[in-house]
Amino acid sequence: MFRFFRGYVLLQIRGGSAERFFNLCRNHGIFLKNIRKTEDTFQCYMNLYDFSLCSMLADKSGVTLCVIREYGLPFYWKRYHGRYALLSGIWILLFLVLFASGHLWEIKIEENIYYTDDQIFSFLKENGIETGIRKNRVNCDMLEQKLRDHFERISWTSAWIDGTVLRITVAENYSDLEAVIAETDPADLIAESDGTVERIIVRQGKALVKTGDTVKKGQVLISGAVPLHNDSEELTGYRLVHASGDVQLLTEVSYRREIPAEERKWTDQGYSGAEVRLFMRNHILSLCSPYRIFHSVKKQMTEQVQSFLSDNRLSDRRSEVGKESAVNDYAGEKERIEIAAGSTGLLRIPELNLEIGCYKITYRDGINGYYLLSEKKVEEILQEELQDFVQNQEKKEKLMVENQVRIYYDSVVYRAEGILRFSERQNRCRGIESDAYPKSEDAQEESL
Amino acid sequence: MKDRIFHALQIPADMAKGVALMEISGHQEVRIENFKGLCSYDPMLVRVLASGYMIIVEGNNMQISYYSDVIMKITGEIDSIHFERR
Repeated sequence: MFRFFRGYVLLQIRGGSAERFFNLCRNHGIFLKNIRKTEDTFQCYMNLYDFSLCSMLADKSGVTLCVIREYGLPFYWKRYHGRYALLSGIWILLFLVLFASGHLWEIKIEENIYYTDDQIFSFLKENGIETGIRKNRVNCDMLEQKLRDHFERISWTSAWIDGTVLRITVAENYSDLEAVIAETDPADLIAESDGTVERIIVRQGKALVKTGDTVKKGQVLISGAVPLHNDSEELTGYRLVHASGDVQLLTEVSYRREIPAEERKWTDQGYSGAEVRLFMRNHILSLCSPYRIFHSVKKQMTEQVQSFLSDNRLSDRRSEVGKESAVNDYAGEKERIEIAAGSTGLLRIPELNLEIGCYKITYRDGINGYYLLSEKKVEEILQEELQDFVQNQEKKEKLMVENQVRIYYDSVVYRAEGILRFSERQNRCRGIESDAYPKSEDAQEESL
Repeated sequence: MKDRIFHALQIPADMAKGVALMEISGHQEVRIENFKGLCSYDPMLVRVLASGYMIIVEGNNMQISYYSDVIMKITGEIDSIHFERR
């Protein structure tokens, strides 16, 4: 390849003493390749640069040199340098390839069953991730965290960029899914959690509890097995029905949420560079590494801290101490985190027990510092989280009737703790096995 | 005497005495290092000058794959390699 870039020629050597010419070339450090004899002439390959020097040697040895053929980039350039459209086309092509390879052109989601691709795509779009964006705008770690937080049933996720494709693999949790019971199948209405019966109205079935009773999770509230009696009030069997009714339970939920008074937080400042590393056995060689000078960073950080503290004034006497420590902590805390990105090329030579490969490391800069949180700010955060919690419960048909959550503070953490009472409508049914209860003779005749 | 010193210091022969080094791969390839020059080249006969003797390679369709100040390589159907004192 290097010879191609430098250019080389196929020479014909005629007359005189060709061997002397070869020896003179050798003495002058000229490299000759593929020397062969054809009838009464010799041919060989020589670098373009060396050819420009060997005319004197040809005169000394009395040979005549003739260039039969030219190879390499210098000759292509000579041939095509006037063809501006072709050359600009090549540059445009290189630019397009470079431009296109820095953007995301496909998003693939794998192993999702409960959540559809469209649901996940629309979530990604809300977070600014869609096809066509630059690859360095995607922070895969934060994306994984957001997916886990937003989608309830996603228990694990992995996101990585493979070339120009963003691949997301999810693992969903199905443990609480149950088989649906048809409305014509015999079933009992059971309690979904521990609680006290607030109200019970039976439409079909037999009530086994009354208002004020304490029930446990899974306890039958309305039974689907209705006892049948004959004229003598003797039990003759059971008629199995799908139990239904309006049962409200009063349930208690313990709520507890803590926020440390001092929070260590990473503020992402974006992509800062990439490094390519070659590795062989245990040795790693860095091919290109971004070099950053942080002299101007300290001043910027101090300004940021000042503006932050002016918005979050601490009311107690710790404020002055906190201010100092925040500034000091800030000053040296700029960090760079490594994210291994891109594919790894690997060459294995088992006979030599050798592995040679390369991988790319992407760097993101950010500020890692301590924030002293003010009481007002923390209360707002805790109240907001409590409201979110209550709203999530209300989506499951639970109505909050009492809130006994209070906010406490010790020197280390802020804590929201207490009991929440909900009035919850019970809808869960559990199927009844057909042979669990003996049928009456009439019911048997009906089934026949 | 010189031989004994070089032997004691474990200096290789090509550095000590300037002898040519030859590497033969089968009957189709021979690499020669530390030679003085090329005496004659023909597809059936190649004569290479070494220190104090000549290396003669005989065969058919022989070519010199590369020829530089340090090393040269002869490829082709090699029938024999022998030496001739000068």
